[in-house]
Amino acid sequence: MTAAIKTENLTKDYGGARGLFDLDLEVAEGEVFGYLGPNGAGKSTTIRLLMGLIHATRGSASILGLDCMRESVQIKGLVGYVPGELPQFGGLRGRDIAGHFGALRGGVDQARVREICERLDLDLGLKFREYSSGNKRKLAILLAFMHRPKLLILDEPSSGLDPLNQQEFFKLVLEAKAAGATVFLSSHVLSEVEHVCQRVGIIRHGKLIKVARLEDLHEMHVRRFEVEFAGDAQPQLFEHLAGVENLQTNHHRVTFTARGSFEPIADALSGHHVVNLVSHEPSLEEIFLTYYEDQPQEARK
Amino acid sequence: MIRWMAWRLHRRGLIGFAAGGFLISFFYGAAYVQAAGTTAASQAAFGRAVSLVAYQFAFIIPVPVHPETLGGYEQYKWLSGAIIMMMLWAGLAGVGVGRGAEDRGLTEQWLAGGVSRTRLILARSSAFLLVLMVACFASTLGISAVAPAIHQDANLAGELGKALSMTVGLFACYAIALFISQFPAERQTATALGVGALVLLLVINGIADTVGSASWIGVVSPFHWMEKTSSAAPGGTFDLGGTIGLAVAAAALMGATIPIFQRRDVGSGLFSWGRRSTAAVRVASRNVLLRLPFTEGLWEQRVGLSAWVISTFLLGSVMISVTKSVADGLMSDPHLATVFKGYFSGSIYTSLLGLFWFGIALLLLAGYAVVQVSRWAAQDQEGRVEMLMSAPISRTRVVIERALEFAVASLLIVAGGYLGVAAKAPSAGLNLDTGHLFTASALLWPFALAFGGLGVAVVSRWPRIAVPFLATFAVIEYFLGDLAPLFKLPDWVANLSVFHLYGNPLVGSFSWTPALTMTLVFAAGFGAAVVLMRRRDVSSA
Repeated sequence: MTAAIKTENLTKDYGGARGLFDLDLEVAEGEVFGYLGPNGAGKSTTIRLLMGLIHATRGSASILGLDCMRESVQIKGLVGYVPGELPQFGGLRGRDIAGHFGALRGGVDQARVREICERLDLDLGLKFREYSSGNKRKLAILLAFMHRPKLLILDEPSSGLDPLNQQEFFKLVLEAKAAGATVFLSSHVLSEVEHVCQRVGIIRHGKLIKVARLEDLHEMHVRRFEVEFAGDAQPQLFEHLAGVENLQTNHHRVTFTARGSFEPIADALSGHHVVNLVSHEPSLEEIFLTYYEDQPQEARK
Repeated sequence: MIRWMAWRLHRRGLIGFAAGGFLISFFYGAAYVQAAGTTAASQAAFGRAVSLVAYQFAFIIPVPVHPETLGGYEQYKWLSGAIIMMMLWAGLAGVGVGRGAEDRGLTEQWLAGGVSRTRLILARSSAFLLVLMVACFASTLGISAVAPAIHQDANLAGELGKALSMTVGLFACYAIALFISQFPAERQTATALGVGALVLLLVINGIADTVGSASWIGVVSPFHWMEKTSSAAPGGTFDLGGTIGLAVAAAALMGATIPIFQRRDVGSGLFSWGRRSTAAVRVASRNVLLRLPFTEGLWEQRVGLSAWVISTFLLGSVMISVTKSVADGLMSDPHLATVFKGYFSGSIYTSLLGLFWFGIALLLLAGYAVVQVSRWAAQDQEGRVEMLMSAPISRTRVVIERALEFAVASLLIVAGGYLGVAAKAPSAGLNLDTGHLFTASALLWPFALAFGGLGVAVVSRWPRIAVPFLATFAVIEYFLGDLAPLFKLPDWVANLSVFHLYGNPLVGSFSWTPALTMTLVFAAGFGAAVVLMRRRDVSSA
């Protein structure tokens, strides 16, 4: 099966260690892929490379088997795109903008436009400059979804949407997936990714540092433990254990974080009078932050 | 902080008008001895010749005072035109301070930061006043700088007086635009009304200057009062009363603006009509003009483009209407009649119209090219090009659509001007050769295309600098065409100016060379645009 998105050694070097470096990534057809990273990590650069808007310094990128630069016109006939920075359409009305892009893309039927507008509660009768930031975002979502594309490339698509419209947007993404579309969704809002994505890639300082299934990411990572002893706290039980960090003691209670298997912790506790033991499942937020906090000082620079 | 920001927001205008003004003033000074010679007799003869030609442009540019002197020549040849260019700058700055900053979110940020509305207006306006003052003084002092080198009177006090008068008068223009910008609901309308009002005041002054029975209406125009100071010419006058009057008028307009700004909502005009309660629209437009980017571009600028076409039509009509009366007035003087008959070949009416109307039409079309390039540059920076390229259209097609859009729009403007002149010609009593009139009008199109071609090339690769580049290029081209004969430069140098290349086809015989050269410039610009657009990175960030 052809990969929906494939990059090899893809690099855009802006100088000063800014840009995107040696990205090797493959997104399968029909997959919803989350692309995570803080501001300035290189998410939008990746997306602009995929869209053929900027030229790679080296490496290659293809979408549905087509080269992103040489065959970008054919690609864009298959893609729906929400840019990270919304374009400004000034005094044009929403219906004019939708009509213009619908004509350029082709294959847009009014029933689909009406359906999306109703679901997002978007009035196309207003001038673009009269729209709130949320409504501008809804219009961008309409332009991306209205022609039922095979691939959706969405750069932080739900920022600025209220919770109800966010839920509707997630439904649109899942419906597109159910219809066989591939979705590449960049975000630093982790709840977006948790809602809809199967796999995520984490990017930091222009380099992809992790690609994993969501459940793997949850499993492989850090957990936080609270152990309450009947007598004095005994932190020395855990000090020597591999993967244990952030050890703290408070009266009878010991808290720490631990990576990997629970078995060494259980062994350490055997034979001791434990009143309470709590293990917290990490949220994706905590996993995400862990990746960023773990980076070496040099990488930050 | 706000003062620094206010200064910074005018930095491009400051650099362009101060440095450009100084240099142009300097070069006109250097050109003076080339044109007028160094003896008193040759300078007197030169002054008489300049005066004769100047009557043709009295509608736009006041007749010169002592053009036989360095200061008088500069005042007529440079400062009168500089005032018109700076008037447009002041108008756009006034609307920019009044409304443009709101569209960019700056006003909201400043107000949220604890700056009062009164302080905001005063800080931004005082910053523009200082910038304007620097530009006006630089535009006059170039002549004083070159005067000692060519053994002419530097007339420093007179130059400073003229600069002061210009500063105050142009600040009044700024205040008019700022005041008007408070009323309309949208910035675009504010820009059209603010700049349009200044152009109207310029036309009123022109009518007052050329139609004796209407001279009284000039008092409402700041240009009338700026004209009354002619101190850049030795022996000219500084109109203290008029200058104080302009200052008082500017202060009064500022005073009237502040309470309106306090009363209205940020982002809306004083007169903002609420949207009628109607059912939400959930369907895309089926307008056929939206199906292609170039027709979409024409549709989007339909109001502005209509204004350009109608203005050109009206201006053409007005110009041909006044040509006969101006020419008859001049020819009634036997001495002037003899000189004109020697100066022009063929009909005096046709010759005057060629200089009178087509000279202005060239400037208008160059101005339209700058406006259009400004629109494309804004679209690029606002992310519209990125969005357009997310649709299945190639970069080459984007360039082609732009070229088509410009070609159609400029053709409509040229047609508007032609129809204005042709429709009024019979009643104006001019016996024009319709073939020559059509040819001269048709040649305006490749002239516009040449500017458009260059503009589309630059904006395709460097959208941020495209507008100042093309505006500077237009100014250089204009003054090259003007200065090349004065410096007795060879024809091929003069023909580097598209203005010079156009010539005066209304009276001369038709030649394919200018038309082909200008079309070639357009084609080269278009070709370069395709290459540049394909190589660049598109990003709104």
